[in-house]
Amino acid sequence: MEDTNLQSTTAVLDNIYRPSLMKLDRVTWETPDTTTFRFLFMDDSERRQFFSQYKVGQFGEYSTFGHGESPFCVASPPTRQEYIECTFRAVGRNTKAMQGLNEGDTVGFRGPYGNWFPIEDWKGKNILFIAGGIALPPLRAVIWNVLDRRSEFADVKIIYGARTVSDLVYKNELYEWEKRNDVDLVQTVDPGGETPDWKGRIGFVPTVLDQAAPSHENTIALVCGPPIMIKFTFPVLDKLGFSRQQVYTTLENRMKCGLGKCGRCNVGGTYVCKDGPVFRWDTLAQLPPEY
Amino acid sequence: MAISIHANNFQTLFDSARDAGYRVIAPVRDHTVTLFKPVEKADQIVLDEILPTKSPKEYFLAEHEPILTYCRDKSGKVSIADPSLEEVMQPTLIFGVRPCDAAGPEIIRKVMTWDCDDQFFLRRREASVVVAIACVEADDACFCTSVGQAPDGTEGADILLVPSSDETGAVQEYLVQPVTDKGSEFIKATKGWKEGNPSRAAACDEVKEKLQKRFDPDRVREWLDAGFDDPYWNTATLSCIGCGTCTYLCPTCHCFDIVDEGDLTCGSRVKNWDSCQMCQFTLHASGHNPRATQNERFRQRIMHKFKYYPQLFGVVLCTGCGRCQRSCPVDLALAKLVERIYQLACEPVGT
Amino acid sequence: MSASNESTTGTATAETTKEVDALRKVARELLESGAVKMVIGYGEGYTQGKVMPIFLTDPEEVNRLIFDKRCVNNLATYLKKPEIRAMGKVAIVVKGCDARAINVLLLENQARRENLVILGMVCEGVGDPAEEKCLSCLVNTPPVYDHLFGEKIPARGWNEETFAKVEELDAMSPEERWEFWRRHFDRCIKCYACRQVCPICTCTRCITDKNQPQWVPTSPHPMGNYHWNLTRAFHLAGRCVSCNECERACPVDIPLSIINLALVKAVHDQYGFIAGMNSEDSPPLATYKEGEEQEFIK
Repeated sequence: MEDTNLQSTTAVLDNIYRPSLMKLDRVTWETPDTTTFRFLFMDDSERRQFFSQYKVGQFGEYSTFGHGESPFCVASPPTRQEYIECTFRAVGRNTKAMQGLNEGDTVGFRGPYGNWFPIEDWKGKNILFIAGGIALPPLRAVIWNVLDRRSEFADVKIIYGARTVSDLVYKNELYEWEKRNDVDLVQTVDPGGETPDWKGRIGFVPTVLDQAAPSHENTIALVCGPPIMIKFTFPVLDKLGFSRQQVYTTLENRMKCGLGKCGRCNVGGTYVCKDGPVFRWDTLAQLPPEY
Repeated sequence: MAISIHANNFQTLFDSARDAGYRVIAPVRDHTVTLFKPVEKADQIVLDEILPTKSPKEYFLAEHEPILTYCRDKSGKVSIADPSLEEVMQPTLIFGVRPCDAAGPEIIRKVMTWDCDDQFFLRRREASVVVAIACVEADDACFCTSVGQAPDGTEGADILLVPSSDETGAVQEYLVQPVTDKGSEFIKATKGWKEGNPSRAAACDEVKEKLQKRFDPDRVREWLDAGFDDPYWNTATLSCIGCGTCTYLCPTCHCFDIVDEGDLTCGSRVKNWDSCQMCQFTLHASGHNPRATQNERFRQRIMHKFKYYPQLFGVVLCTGCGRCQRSCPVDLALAKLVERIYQLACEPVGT
Repeated sequence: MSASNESTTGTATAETTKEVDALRKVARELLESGAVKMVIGYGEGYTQGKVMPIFLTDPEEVNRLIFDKRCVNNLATYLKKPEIRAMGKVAIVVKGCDARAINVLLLENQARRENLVILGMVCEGVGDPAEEKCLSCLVNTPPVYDHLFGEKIPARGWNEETFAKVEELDAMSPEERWEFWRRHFDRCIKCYACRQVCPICTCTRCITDKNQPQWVPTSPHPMGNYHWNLTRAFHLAGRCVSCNECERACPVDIPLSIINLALVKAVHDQYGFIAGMNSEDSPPLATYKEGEEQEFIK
């Protein structure tokens, strides 16, 4: 493997801000403004180092050199160790630059940072995934993690919706999950977002959740979506009998260093990059409304 | 064995430090302000002010720190490199630091070594010898004793000079107190020191009398624990204009930004000072801002300093230097706000 | 407890002038009647001997209002704040220079005249010794007000000394001038106190906060410092009222007033225009008139 990293000629600095160099291996356009990138570590020892630590739910700082860094969750599971993936929408300088890259280009990656979903505690349980729009990526890593270790878990149900059909991400994977008989997938679009040949449900995600009425018995629920969706989903879960210890979400916040040092991402006294981004509902309820 | 140093020998000290490979930083006049800068002549240094305008924080947490350089060749191949260590590891004598300023880096060290180490900060600190000078005066903005510091405190100092004044009140001689091994080694390696006590006693007692504790940080923290939504925040800081002056001059504020500078062929990634008081500090790419008003941003500052940091690291993120009050363009004094919170905390419930 | 920022040590001056008495009376009436939600004025500062901006909503607190030589702040900057704008109608204490800033805000639709009750204070100058800007004051009597406190006096006006520092710099060689500013801009720490305190810097997203592209580097290195200070100066040309709050707020004492003066002189010499004297005359750099001289377009 080519050594593309130049070392300083004097003492070596143990530089926590130094990224790994990654090769962009595959670009998939999920929606007109959202892409999934698959990256390969250019240095195999860095790849092994990453996967010796990485647990599902953690995030990293992805950068194009010259434009800056952005934090995204790692959207692929630790069960697939040849690559990492991320899915993002272009809203700022770095994300727009990333969407201008071609397969074969180089980006930087620092991670894994943050905490993770305690998936080991969920063996034997039913897992319910509830996601909206561009917020499916953080949960997709968990879905694949669970499906890669399918026999360790009980029922798997996914409720996923977006504003319109074209806003649904991971369309190929949704198709795969639909076909599996060990996954119950419910897809929905907002009223007015359907196309003539849409076969899924029509309705907001919290409404569809209410209609599907999954049992809370022995179930862990993972929720990820825009604030408005979360706001209406939690009461439905409450109504369905879920306790706050059974529900997990993942927060996003503006982050820079990812290491707890730059002072930017705290919600109250909790640093999202250290004690998050994964939060259980009861912990989240204690945090001040600063996110 | 007692050691002392006379101000007349500061030049000898500086020269011998330079001979031993140190650059010498001390407070000097720059236009109408006093800043810590490289200095040649000891008679340029300014020690008769309460505090220099800026703390020496920039010598540990650089205002602008390149953290890597990158290069992209014509084929698109990218290579990155750590910056040269020369500047970060440059042996430096930082002379004439007040105890509140000396304590700053030690407090910042806790977050810089939280789970992983920021080598830029650590190596700069390692390479520095901090010679602190105890205070003989204080003004109304000083409140070091309220936050666990003292006008003759030794936290963060490698050597402490305790002034003794002559009959005119001018300080000429100092009792030398080595605080760390590094400090003792430095004394051995340099000149200007002399054996024996200074001819007069230390002059710190008066200032200690003056610096009564103004609040109890533990009571303040109790109030802050429950006070996130208190209406106090809606009006107490309306005059704040949201500049970064207080945070940049503060010896313990350490928030930073990471940006890339350069173009597609080459450039660097840098760490710059940033401020939680700036309006886009927490602005999300989506346009959502969790701290959209200045009141919320100011609350964050007080919470971070007096609740979150103590919760995480056991120490208040403040050394009571008072710069936030002296340099605030609208005379908004953080210490006064915290005093008010302390009063609220001490009020019997129900008032 | 009142909803204003907290009263300080309570060392209100024992004597007040009749202007301040009158001001307090009007402020009380405005608050009691509900005509305004808030009075923005000067009060004793947290630091002994200094003043600070105060925001009164309770008529019982009007005795905190003061006005004397220490009142250097330009309170018009608070009219930029969303929290203040959300209050609707407010009263604001202004000196002449502050009122000029309000004129610019009105002209640029950054404030609504009907939402302001302008409490104008006749002012012979602030600071002790007097601030340099006061020696050349054009507006000892504020150019816009709803209530005026004090007898109208004529303006001091510009004199031979007004632009002395600018002329001194103009007489330097480019290298000397560069060195002069290099020495000062080197101290800049990018705290943006100059921008935040300026009533005319009203952009909700400042150019230096934009990163697509990063027009002005945020770093405090020479390029970043020059770029920031000069960009801000250009954006103020024809709009700056030289209240010099930027220079006062600067923690490292960069002499920004010299740049302000240079721009004032240039705009006056070229276009005969002085910013903020009223809220009708269009600023030359923001206005297009048909038939304008276009010789410079080659």
